[in-house]
Amino acid sequence: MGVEIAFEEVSKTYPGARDTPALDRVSLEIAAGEFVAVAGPSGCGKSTLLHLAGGIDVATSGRVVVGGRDLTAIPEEELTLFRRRRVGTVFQFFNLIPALSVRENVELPLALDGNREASARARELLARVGLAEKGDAFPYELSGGQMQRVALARALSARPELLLADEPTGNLDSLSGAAVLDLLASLHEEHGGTVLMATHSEEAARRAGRVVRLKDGRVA
Amino acid sequence: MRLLFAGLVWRPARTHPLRMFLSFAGVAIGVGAVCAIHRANRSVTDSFREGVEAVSGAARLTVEGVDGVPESAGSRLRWIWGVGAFAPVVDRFAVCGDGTDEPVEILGVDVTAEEPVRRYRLAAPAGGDLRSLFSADAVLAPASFARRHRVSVGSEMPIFVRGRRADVRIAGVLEPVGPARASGGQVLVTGLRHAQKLFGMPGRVDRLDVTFPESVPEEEIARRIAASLPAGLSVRRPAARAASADKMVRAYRLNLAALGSIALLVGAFLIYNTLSMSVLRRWPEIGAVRALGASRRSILACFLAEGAALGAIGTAAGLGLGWALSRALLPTVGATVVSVYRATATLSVSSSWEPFVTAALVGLVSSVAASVVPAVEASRIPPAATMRPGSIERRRRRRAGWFAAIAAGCAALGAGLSRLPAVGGFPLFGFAAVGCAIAALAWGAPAAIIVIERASRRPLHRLFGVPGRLAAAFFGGNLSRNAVAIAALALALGMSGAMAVMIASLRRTVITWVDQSVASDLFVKSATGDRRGIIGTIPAEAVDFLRSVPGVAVADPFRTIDAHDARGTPFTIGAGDFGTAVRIGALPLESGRDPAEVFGRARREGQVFVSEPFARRFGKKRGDRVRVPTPSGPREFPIADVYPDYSNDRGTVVIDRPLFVSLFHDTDVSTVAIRAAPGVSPEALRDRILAGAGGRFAFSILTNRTLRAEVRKIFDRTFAVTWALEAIALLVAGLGVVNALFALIVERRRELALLRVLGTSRRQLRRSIAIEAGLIGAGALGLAALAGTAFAAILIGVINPQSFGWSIRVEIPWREIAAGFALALTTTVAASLVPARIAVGGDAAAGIREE
Repeated sequence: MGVEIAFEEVSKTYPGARDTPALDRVSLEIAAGEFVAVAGPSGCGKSTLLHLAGGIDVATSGRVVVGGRDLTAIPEEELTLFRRRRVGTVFQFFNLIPALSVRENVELPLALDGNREASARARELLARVGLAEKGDAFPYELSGGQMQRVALARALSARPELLLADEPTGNLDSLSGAAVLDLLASLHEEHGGTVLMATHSEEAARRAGRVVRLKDGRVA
Repeated sequence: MRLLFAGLVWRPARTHPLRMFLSFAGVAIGVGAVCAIHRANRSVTDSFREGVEAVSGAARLTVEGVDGVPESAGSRLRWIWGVGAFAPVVDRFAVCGDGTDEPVEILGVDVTAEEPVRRYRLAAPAGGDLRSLFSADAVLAPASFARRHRVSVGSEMPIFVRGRRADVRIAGVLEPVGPARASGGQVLVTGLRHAQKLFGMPGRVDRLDVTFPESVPEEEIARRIAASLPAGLSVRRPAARAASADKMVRAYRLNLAALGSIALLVGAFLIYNTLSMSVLRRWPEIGAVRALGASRRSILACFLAEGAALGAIGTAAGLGLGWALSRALLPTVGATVVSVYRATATLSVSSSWEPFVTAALVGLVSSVAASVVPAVEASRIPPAATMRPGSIERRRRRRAGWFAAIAAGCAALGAGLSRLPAVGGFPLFGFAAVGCAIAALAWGAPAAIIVIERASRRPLHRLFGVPGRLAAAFFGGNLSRNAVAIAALALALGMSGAMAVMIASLRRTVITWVDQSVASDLFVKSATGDRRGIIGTIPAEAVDFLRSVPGVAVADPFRTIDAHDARGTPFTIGAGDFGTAVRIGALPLESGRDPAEVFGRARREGQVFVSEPFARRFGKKRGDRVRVPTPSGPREFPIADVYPDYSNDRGTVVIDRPLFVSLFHDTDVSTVAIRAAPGVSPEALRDRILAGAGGRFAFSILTNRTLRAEVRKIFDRTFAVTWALEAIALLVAGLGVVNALFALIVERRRELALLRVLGTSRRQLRRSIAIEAGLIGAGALGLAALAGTAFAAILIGVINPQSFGWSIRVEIPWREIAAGFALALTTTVAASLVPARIAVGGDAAAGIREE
């Protein structure tokens, strides 16, 4: 189910920070179905690595090959479809759409593709993350842990081959964080996709099959 | 797509109904203004056209001359009887003498020649026909006229015509067909000889109406007629007469339309403002859905749909508003047309749907156009944006330099465009330059914020301590949101300031001109009762009578005739006594030379004077030659000089009276300016003239004071429409800005809660918000001053001269502008107090937990 990911001499420099690249000639291979934690202190380039793998951002130099396709060489329209159909993303700050109900948030990735099963799939996933009864609620009615579980359900709704989790517990108390990590691990086992999780928490990193450590934009 | 629209547009919009209401209210008012003005304009055009059609009947061509057609010309056109027919007509205006003072069109017809050209149907007396007009004083009146003026068959009615009172007898009542529909039914049909006698034009008619079957080619007949005619007469279609009349008011109509467009522009800017705010507020959500796979196109479509929806609702409401406004507007527009352009015009509301369709299209297109920039901006939000909070502000700050460069480019383009000439008499590039100035304002706002932030950081800290420092940081930190609010406020203030300057300048210029040019004590014209304007002429013997009245020092006659050039562009031929100008002086001339000397030389050498609007409109200057149509064919005259004239925007060529009389064989005059002898009161002299005129002449006499008051009244009424439109647009724009400010502050609740957690007191935060609002207001005022100066310069230096041909001396109403700016600043700061109280109130800990 998962995809292979290869970073080949990848660098990323943000505009306005010419001398300090967020990623500096990083080379890394991730096997299909692997659960990899990217760990390191704040500002080491973890989120950037995830964004490049998910086609959310584009490398300044080098190649990012996901499932045999070089993301640095495909046009924006294809990248959009890639993100929509093959990647699921969980953000640190949840990023649920406040005007949409919980169920509609989960439906969104499939609905963008005009998939008629979006609603049924959303119900199924909400039940899976233990929030079946919250489908009609709005994000502001949920706790932080519940919001992140909704975000996880949304990330999985299109059955992605690659799940990106950017500090998924960074904004949660330890109990909620542990529950979300448990859920992430069990969903990985059930769905079998590749998971790339950025975290600065050692405890969270230990839940992954492999830990890649970054320091100052390089693999340590 | 449905979920995207619901999540990004529809549901958030429902939570801000006031903001949405203001946006579509802006469009509604703009569309309403465009629709009302367009309908009023259309009513003017339609009324002219229908009036001409009604009196032209089946005529396909008309033979005309600048001062009528000699009846003898008909003998050269007898060949027409072989293919069709022609009918001579006298078609002029008189004034009802029954106390209504209404103008009435007098149509003098040759009863025996009418049948092929015009149809009449008599409602009374039963079995009556045109032959009843054979008796000397007989007229036929439409039924509506008879009802309005309470006359019936056999009754007599007084009319004022050519400076005299005449009684006409109602010989029949007409059904509302054919000429009975002319001038909204204010028409009397009479015999040709009777009309000639009334208007003092024996042997002459105003035109010959020619008709022939559809199967006969019009061009061929026109060519043959032209070849048969003596010099000085021309042949044209009847519709050309309506076109000439319409061209007289064209500049006025176009400028009204442009004003309506400005109201719509403010409405469209509100849509831009609302959508930009929406995009900025939903930046993280847009980034998130982009990361989830939403395409650029779908985001673009969502926001364009929002703009279109706002536009559609606003347009629908605007059309209703336009219908109501047009009914209120037409009397004002009609009064201006009557008092400034055509004293005899009768206007009725147009029944055409075209103004509604046009306004709807303009409303929808401008709404969608206004949403393009924010929609494109939304579609370009990168998926990664959502992970880096504050990235939009960083991006904007980085790009502020570019934005400033674009603003400078727009300003330079506007400056360049403002130097281009009018297109077909319309200041197209002038209005394009206004558009460029608005674009410069929108693009320049972020740079202005950065400049103000940097310049105010230290002084504010010194003056207000921590709140001052925080205010500067908030101000600069919310660059994108503040830029939109500042640009909107600056546009509204700048536009109203420029309007105030333009109107004050024009008013001052016109009043100064009236003071200089209206030096005489009394102004005499053919009786019009209390009605404004000049209708008809007075005979030369009336001038002799006026000169004979004791106490009259100078009686200076002036005559005007409507003319048009070869392309049908209307202008006025004036005839004044240059000798009087030599004796008692005249207006200052453009060249600054001594008028007495210039007029003396002009009389000796057969030169003419042209008004400033004429010079601009026809591209003439001192020393050029001007071609003037005369009864004996076109004549060319050298231009002695150019004089200022704000009474007529068509332009006037003034010929010396003796020369005019010798060329036109017409001694009638339109007005006589009278100077009282020393020690004679103007009021007493007026009474003496009226008493002496007795039953011989019927005059209307204005004193210098009443004429000046009249000019001011006409001026203020003409610009009342402008003020009303501006005020409405400003009100909506102002409310929009207050609303935006509210949103700006309430949205920052989390940030403010954090500051409170860090130890900032509520009072400090409220003060910092008030100071920030002050900075927003001050920034808007600064930009408004710049933009307003540009708008005023374009209005006064480009749009007005190109539309009306007038030079305007700038007059800045400092007090009004300062009051307006102070009010705007106070309102902005005051508008921040309530949201500031809400935003810093409540539990700080809960505030920072808020998602």
